[in-house]
Amino acid sequence: MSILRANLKHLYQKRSFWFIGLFFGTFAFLIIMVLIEAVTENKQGRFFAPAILMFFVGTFIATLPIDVLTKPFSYCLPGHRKIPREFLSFVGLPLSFLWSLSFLFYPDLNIVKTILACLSAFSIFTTFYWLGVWFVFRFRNWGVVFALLPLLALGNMWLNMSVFVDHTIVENSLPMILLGGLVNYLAWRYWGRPNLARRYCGILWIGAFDAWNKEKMSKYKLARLAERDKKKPGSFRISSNVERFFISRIDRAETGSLPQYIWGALYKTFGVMISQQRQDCWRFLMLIPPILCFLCYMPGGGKNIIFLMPGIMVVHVSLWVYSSLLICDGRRQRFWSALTLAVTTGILVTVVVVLLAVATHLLEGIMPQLTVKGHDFAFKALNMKFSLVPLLMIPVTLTMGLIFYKKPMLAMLFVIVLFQILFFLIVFQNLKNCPVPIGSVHVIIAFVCSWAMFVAVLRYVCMKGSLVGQGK
Amino acid sequence: MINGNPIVQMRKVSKRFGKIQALDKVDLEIKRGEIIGLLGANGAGKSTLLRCIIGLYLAEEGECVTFETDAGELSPKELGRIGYVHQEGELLGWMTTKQLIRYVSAYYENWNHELEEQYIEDFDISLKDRVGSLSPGQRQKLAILLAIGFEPELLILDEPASALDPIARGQFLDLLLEIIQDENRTIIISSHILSDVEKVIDHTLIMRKGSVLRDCSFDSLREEFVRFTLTCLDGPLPTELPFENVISCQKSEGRAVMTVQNYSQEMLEAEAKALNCEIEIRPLSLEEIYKIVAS
Repeated sequence: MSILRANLKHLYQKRSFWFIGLFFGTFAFLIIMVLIEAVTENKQGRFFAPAILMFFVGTFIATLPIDVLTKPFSYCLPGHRKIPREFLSFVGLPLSFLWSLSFLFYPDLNIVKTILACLSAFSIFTTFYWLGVWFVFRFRNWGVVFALLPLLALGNMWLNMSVFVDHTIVENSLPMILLGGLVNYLAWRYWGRPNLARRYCGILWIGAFDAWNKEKMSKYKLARLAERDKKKPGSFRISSNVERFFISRIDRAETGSLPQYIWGALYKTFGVMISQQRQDCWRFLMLIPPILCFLCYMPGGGKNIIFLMPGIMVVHVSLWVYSSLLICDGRRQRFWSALTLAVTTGILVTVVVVLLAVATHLLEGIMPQLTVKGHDFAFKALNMKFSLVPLLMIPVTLTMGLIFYKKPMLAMLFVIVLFQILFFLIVFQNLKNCPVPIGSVHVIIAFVCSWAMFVAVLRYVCMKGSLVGQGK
Repeated sequence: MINGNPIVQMRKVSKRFGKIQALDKVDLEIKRGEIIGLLGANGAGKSTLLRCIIGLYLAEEGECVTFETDAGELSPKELGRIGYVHQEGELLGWMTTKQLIRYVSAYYENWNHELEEQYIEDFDISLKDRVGSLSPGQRQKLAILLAIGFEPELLILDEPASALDPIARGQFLDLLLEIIQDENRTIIISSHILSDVEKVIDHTLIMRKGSVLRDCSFDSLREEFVRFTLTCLDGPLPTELPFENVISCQKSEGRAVMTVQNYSQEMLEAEAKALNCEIEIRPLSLEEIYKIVAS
């Protein structure tokens, strides 16, 4: 079996790629439908869609060679050095070629122009593909790909990119072919360079599905912190004041008493966060206004995502239930400190969300109405009545984290499904004909049920469960 | 000195993880002052046994009592008498070494700061580094310090020296030898580095597939298995040698190297004399004994 073939087998050997295949298959089907509609109804700006698809194909396909490259064993594999580029080309170029054939059906083109448009489209699609690949090789965390989604949406909305690129492919075929040729040549050189293996060997790299790998994520975070420490010694550490505050309370509490463990749990969870240096806090705070503006100018109920995100993000909060005996906390102490931690997290998150909602209400009166390409966008404040959503979601998310602590992917999947149901309910709430009536009684019942469920599961885990996973 | 009052008692303890029977009706008594070597292949159930003792795992069947308290009900009062070094050294990676020591020591009234300082100096632990950025060996040294800093009555060491370099391992052994001077301290040490373990233990517990294969004093185990070289003083050895319970035998013309079970030195010497042979008896190392018992 050739080395390339052995590597290509990863496409089906890696189970997460079955899901990706399904996702892209659906995406490709939708694009084909859109293209058929564009051909039959003579619409422009639709032939650009495969370029976006190829970009995301590039981001996913690149995870396979990089996954192998980062493993030290692969450094000495004979004949493996040139495999990344062969693998990437073997997947990307035929796919781009197939998509470029869609220009055979582009309306109102003669034969020469059609052939040139196909070649030009191939160049553009491969360029987008290599861009996606480069993006993944450039950043150590695949998650940054998500940051591109709003940029892409904004770019398409304001710059009318789809029509522009469509037009460029057809009208400026020759320069595009030249550009594509150059990009492909550079890509071939770049991913075949001798130091590629050395550069990536042993690097901790976060792939598309590693966000669910707690151990790897924790290692990655620590590695990033260590890098920051090197650049700026002392940053991102527990400050001596914060440490003194918590340790003195642990010290002062009676040995073996509950407050001792509750203070300990709060210290372990919030110590680093509270210790953030002033500039880090400012940097974080400065991100909030643009995000709020983006959401509040967004028409419809999409802005309410801000109430749901904290409920999902707490899946990574550790309640310190599953840990070995670092300190002498018994099962009862673990239960109470975990419960305190969950309540504190819930309250803190809710307070932050309420503050953001209040801020948008204050801004509503002063923010101007924007007009983009004839569309009016008004700043609409966040709906205050959704501020309690995090408090409702957090116990459910934490419960899933407790149940599926060995399989965080399942916990995350469950939480995402819940997130989608809630999201649609909230979006429907904003519509006049809401199919599901949600009254305050329902909310109170849901609130009590979610917390009761969490307390019951937590109590069971703490009192009856195995507190350290096998091999953990 | 071994005190008759057991500090850990297990009766018919079973624990299962899915299809894997991690512990299978384990009966065990650990007395105060014992230094126990817990041996077994990977997956034999050693870590599960240790975790049951401190209540991190609860037995599905049977009873596990530590410090006269059901292991699942252990409170800080009892847990404060137990030091536990986890085989993977699970610590709080984002704290600095100094912060972690301060954090853990805050929970113990009897934290020995002198011992802490001495240990930090001897083991060359850097206090400023973030725990997560320490090498596995450094992290293990820190885990050991956190487990012994409050001078626990029961010290549980689950693969404590696996990541240590030879020098640190030597220092760790010296430290253990120092610690065991306290006659009231009980130590359970699970390790695959048997050459180290045999220097400190007085009791052995050998496990296989969740069951206890041997639970006896190290001395009795050493007496049970013997290796000797038999050299005939006149001519070749007889074809059939009059030994029973032979575990291995390598024979050349006038010489045989044999490993046997349940023979005292006197019995062997008498047999050698009857064969007109010279005998050289050598005790087996723990590793050799373990291989025989576990095979």
